[in-house]
Amino acid sequence: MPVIAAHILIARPLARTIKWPAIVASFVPALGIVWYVSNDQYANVGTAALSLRLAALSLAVAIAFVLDDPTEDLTGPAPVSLLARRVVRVALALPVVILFWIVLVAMANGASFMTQTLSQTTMLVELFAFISLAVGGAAIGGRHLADKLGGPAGAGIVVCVVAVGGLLPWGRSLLAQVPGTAAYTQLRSWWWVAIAAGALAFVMFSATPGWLRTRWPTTVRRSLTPTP
Amino acid sequence: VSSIDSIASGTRVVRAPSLSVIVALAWVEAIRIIRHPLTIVGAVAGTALFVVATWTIAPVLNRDESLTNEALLPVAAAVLVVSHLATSRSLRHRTTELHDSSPSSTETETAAHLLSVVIAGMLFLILVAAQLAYLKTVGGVGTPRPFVVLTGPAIVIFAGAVGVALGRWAPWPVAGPLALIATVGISLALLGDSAHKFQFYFSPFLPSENWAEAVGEFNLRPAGWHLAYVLGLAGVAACAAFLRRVGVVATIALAGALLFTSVAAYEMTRPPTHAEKRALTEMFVDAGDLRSCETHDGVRYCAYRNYTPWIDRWRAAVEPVLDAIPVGARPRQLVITQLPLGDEIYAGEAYVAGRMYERMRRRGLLGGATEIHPGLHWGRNGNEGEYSLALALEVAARVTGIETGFQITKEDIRLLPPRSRKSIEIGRRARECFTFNQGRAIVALWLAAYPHPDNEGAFSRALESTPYGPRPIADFFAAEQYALSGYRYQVLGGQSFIFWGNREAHYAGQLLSRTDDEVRSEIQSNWARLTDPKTTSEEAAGILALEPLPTLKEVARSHHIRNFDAFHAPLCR
Repeated sequence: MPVIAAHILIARPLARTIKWPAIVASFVPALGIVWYVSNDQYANVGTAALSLRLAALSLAVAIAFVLDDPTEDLTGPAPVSLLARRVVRVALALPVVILFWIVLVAMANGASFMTQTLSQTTMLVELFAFISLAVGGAAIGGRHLADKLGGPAGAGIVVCVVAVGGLLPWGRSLLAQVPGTAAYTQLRSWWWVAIAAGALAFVMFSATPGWLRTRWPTTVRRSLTPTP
Repeated sequence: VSSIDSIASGTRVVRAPSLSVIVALAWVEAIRIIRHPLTIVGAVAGTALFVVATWTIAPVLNRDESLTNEALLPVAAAVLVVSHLATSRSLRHRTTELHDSSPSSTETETAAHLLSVVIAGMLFLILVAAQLAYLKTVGGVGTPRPFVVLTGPAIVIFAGAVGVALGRWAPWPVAGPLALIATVGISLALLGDSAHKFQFYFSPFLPSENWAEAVGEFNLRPAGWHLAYVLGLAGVAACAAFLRRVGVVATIALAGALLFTSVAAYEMTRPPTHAEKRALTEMFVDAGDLRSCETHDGVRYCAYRNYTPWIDRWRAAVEPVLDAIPVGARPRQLVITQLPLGDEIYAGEAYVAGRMYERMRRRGLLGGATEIHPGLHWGRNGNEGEYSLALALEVAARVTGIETGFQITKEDIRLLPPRSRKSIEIGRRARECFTFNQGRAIVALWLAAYPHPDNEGAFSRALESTPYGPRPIADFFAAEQYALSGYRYQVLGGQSFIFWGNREAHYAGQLLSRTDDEVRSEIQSNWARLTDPKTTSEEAAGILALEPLPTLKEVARSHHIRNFDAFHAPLCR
């Protein structure tokens, strides 16, 4: 069976085990914060960006729990790898979150004192950075926690990283920068670093140990294998 | 088995909460909360931030103790999540039935979880005490306000109680972090961007006075009522945790907690009375009794009683200036009297006191002409040089005869470039003046910068930030030394301002590269000529054998700037 077909086939049973109420619950604080700021008569682009970042944190916390699959003991022996199953789970949840996010950014852009609008693309990159850290943290938690449910670890890690990003670099923190300013442009690459770090953690801790080695060409593998 | 038996026989086993069981469980849970990685990370991060935030300020305990609240915020965030996980532990681990068979009831466990967050909160008081002890050790003055200090642990208790309540009502792992984000969002919304909004005090956390340059002495924050309000909120959350099982009792307790919180909220948001606002003026109206004075080497230093140890810091700035000048040139009645700066009063929301302060200051009722008024802030570590330099510069201006506050005459106007003449009125008192092209300014700047490496460092930073010279030496041109003005503003406020010339500052920079003794002897032997108001910068540079710098006009021309000479104040006399 082709790999793609296998992924499509497992999508439906995996969708059932995703904690959709958690995602919907995360919409509530996200919507509340952005709604408040967009209705604040003194809101500006800085406060709008802050509200969106808090909303992104809320959504990322929920996404961290997407990897939690209590049925994993049963589905584990399936011919689809853990990494593939997790990718499918994230891919199923992500469109819903992205759609909601686009609405949030549009809502934040309606704030009264906005001299500039926040770019959907820029804010999407920030959301991906939060989500990437959350799923990366959840994958780490899934590997090391006793119950194999890494959601709380992913949520904790993304909250901690955001707290750090809210303060560092000291005096001109990443999360204090308003998109469109020179300081933001200077620090923009850090969002991509966060995406890359989270994605790397996600892949490393979701893949079967030794997975990467098995993908290497035969000649390389042979050269690495010690001769008796 | 006992649980199944009791259900099978149709009887309900009522297990009264036992205090000893609650206390025993609470200690176990409290230790688990404190040992949790999130709590440890929060405590370490909070303490590190506390140290960083106070690294460059001379601590004042009745102001900077509010930073301990902020240092406990990461802990409070961790305790919210951890207590939620702890309360919902049996459900997450699918051991609810096992717990039901234990001799302690769910209510006992809830009470124990709530007591555990209280114990954890009180144990974090030790961390707060350690932070305050650190401030005292590094030279902190004043006495911390107990209500402010206790608010930090109270916030931790409130966060923990929210976590427990949430654990009972929403025992899903995602609920804790989401509740944390919602709490942060609500707090930020309540705080807004101004302390003058009605809802400001409804936030459980209030930003430290430290950030607003406010001082505890001028703050009318209802610290006691705010503490009661936070504890009331914690009580509401605690009652909510019981509400699911113990209906009537918890409802009555909840009503009581809500009433208590409402009373605290009412008192907290009650505007201060006129008498309370007026009482703040005691700090500067007939404040002689509040100050303690000492005389050293003919200079009188008067500091508010809490700040007496700062006299040594002022002496270190003032005495080297006086040591470097001829004995006969020493001012006879130099007095360093501590006085709050206008900003320090206004930042504390004390408008009545602020207005009175400004009125008295304008009329010269807050001190004589011989007095210099450092404020209620001072620097530490790498930042002390800026404070020391600003105070030394003010003393150096006095000894070299540079003064403001004179009546502006026709002659003063005539000396100005034509563009500046329109904005300055004859007959008015000059509240500020420029030292452009005055040789004595070079001397004053050197006197202030030479004594200490910190002063010299701050002075060098000022020169670097405001370079002087034609292109391509610098692509930025300023006639005034803005950085020195900035130092002056933060130490002595904006009154009677002397704007130092950038060219003169760069001449003084040249002097700093020589040995102190050499410069001192040159200055002492040419004192009369160098401090003569008529001696120009070129002449002074010639006397001191300095490398000539281009004039302001030449530099402005090379930068294609035409209106650089639009000064808004006369030249200093």
